[in-house]
Amino acid sequence: MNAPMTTPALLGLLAMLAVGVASAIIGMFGIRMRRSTSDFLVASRRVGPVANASAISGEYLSAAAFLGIAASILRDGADGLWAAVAYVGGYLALLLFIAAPLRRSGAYTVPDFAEARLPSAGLRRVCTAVVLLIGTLYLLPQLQGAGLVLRTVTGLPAWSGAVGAAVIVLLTVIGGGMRSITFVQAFQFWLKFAALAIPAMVILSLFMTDNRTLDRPAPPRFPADAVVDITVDAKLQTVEPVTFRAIGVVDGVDLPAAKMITWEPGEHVVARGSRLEFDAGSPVPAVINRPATDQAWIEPMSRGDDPSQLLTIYSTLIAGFLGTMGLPHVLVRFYTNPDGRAARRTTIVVLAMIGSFYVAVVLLGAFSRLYTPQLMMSGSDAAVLLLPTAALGDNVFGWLLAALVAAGAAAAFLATSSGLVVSLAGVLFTDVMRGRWHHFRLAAVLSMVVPLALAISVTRLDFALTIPLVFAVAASTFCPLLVLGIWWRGLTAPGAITGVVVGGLLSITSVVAAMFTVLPDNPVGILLYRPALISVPAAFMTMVLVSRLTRSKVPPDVDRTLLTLHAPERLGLGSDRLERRSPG
Amino acid sequence: MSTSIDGDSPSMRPGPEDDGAGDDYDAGYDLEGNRVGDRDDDLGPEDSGAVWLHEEIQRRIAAGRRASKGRHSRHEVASSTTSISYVPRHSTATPGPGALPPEPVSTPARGLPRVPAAWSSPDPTTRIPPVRPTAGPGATPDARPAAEGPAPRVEGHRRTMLAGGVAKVPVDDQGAPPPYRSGDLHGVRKARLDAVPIVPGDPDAPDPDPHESMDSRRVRVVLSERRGGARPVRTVVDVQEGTGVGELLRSNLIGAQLAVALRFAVGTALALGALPVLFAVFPEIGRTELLGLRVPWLLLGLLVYPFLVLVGLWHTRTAERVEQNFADHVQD
Repeated sequence: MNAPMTTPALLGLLAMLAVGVASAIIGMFGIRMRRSTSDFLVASRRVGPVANASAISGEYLSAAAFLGIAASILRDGADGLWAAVAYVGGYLALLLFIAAPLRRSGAYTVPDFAEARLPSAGLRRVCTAVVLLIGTLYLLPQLQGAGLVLRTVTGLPAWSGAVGAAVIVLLTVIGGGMRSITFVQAFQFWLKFAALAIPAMVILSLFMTDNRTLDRPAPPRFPADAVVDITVDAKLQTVEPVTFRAIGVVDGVDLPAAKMITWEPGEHVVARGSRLEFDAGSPVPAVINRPATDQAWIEPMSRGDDPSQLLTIYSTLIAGFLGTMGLPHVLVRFYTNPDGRAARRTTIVVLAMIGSFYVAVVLLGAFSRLYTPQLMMSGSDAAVLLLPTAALGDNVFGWLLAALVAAGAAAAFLATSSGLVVSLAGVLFTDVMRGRWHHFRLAAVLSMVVPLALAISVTRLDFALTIPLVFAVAASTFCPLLVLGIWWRGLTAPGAITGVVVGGLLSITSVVAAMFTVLPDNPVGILLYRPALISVPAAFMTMVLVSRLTRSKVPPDVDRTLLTLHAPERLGLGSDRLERRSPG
Repeated sequence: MSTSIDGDSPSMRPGPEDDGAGDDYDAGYDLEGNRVGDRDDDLGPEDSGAVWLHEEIQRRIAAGRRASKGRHSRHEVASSTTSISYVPRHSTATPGPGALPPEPVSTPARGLPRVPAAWSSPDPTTRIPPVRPTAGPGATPDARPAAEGPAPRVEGHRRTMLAGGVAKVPVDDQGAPPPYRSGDLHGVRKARLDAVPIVPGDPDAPDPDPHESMDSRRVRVVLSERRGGARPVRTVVDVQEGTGVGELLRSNLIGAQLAVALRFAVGTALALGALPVLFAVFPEIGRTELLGLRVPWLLLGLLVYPFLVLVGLWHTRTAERVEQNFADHVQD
């Protein structure tokens, strides 16, 4: 795989380039349809519902998310399914609580909504900061994902993928604005869907005709001789004795030259930078606390009734369900619906679209346990990319399918990144720079700088870890603000600010802890990895309590604002609250 | 006239009531009242509160009518209330590109005590922004709100409305709205302006400065003088003003929607949230096969997605019915 540009690598590279070029062309084409700044930013709300739903799904389904879900299914089995459920369920929560009212508020970003609901400059500033924070945190895995895909497919260094993705995204955003972004993202959704559904179907039919099974009381075995590079310090476990060659630091022993080692059943530690070489047919060690045998993998609750596993699942569910509504690029999309009714309907189409997409992801994740078990130990995130050639063999058919998957992944990180850059740039442009139209381009470039620098310099963590963290931050900050802002007339600006700050601090603490330290595997460590279970209720309660204490600060026209959010537009009851904002 | 929704009603409620209303408010009202009752019966158990609500509204309206000498006295009340702000429609073309939008126009109502009369400040009517960015040519016709709200604020505020406050669109040429909506809106606005009778006491001279007109003068938004054509809808004003009926309708709408959303959320959370515990307590579920798949995989890998879509569809239908109910009450 590291050989310079073999045929499959070339095919994959060409497929990814084709996606980039096609996106750029659709983006450029959109320029002609652009006439004013409002066209540029919000597509004039003239996007049809299916196109809009495709664009929402295209934007939402990030490469990092689906690679991470497939990876966690590969490692965790039935317990990994919850992550996918959480990400899709987020749109249900969004539909139930905020889709139509948010659209009726006329707000384009969370800071807009906050200001429309509670006139407070301080709240707007806090929201702006949190949008920038969430956007940057979410762009980071996207760019790293681009690097991972490029390195896996072609062997090029990871930074080149991140830089390449950043450049293509900036070109699309600067060139086309939101309207062309809409079409680009709709196109990218269908491309992604095809890129995962077709391989899933092909491998499914292969699996049906094969008499292999995933239901064995033994660990999976290496299908071929395998070299496993350990990129982060790992604790592994094996249930059968396994013999392999190792370089690096294994079980605390420094091995400068390759040496044969035999592991007895039990726990073993491998340091970062080690390289392990296994022969075909040896049992695959699993990461500690993950199901080691296929039978444990296929059944839920692989750790028995260990409460920390329930804790993980519930925290993931809360983060996914409530975090989706707080992602900045998701909210922008609702503004392109013509009215609240359309916003609801679009959301249902989105639910159906991302649901079908994740069925394909689940299939691919399950098959990767069968065909690419060596990735259980390290580099699980590449499972979907390596699966086609592993399942179909190293032939033209396998290469073509692998190239298709690579194209889908490329589409995924381009779509999510450009959506994030548009919303980050929008916030920078209105709240930080307060510039004129051409500054939007500068804002777009600025919003890409920090994530790109981080993506190149920080070691990539598993997506199954980083994506839920970003969702947890969104769920602990914007979800309480949006939900209480829409449904509770007692919310005050001081309450909203304290709530957002408390939720943000709690969740950011755990982000920092997860990124820079290795956390213990006990309930505290798990809650630091998945803070939503604590930080979301804390943010809600703070918001309610402080609002109660500052009851006198409830805006006097709160009833009218709420009416605007809830009354159907056709009655003309709502006064566009944003109208009253001062121009500065 | 600004409270009428006649321009939009055909799309929402095709039927005889659209042309049958005229000036006879009481007759029209009774007629409508019966109709609402019928509709509520059709809606089934979910809307069992509607009949009660309707009766309550009738009661409050009757009380309000007794108190305020009937509907034709409204504009007397209006002219006797103070600090009503209103931008005359002539200010349409006033604020230049750099001018402040006439913000105070809409704010004075904020601190004001609510006027208890059935008709109070016409201020909110000026806020019905008839033209939202939504109402582009592609938008659904009924997305355009009660369109005859005095048009003036539209042009001055276009900068904030279009981009939802994100982009301050420089409105260079006040006379020329963006190309994509010029014909449509101008046609509409013009036609409606023509239809408005000149109001006695209206500051006829085009007033270039909205701030000036705001504090010193008021404009009666004509309800009683409007003849023929459309049926003015009083509840719209009530709802906006937070009078007895309006308050009831408003809190009823939000409460009902919240109850619906919470019901669906709790139901879904219980259905999904019970699964991990069930899997932990009864490990045999994980070993059972159904349709060739382990039950957890079947549930979480496949069936959960159609389930979520169905919950979403069901919720949307329910929420739209609540909105329709509200719309019926407001318009009747």
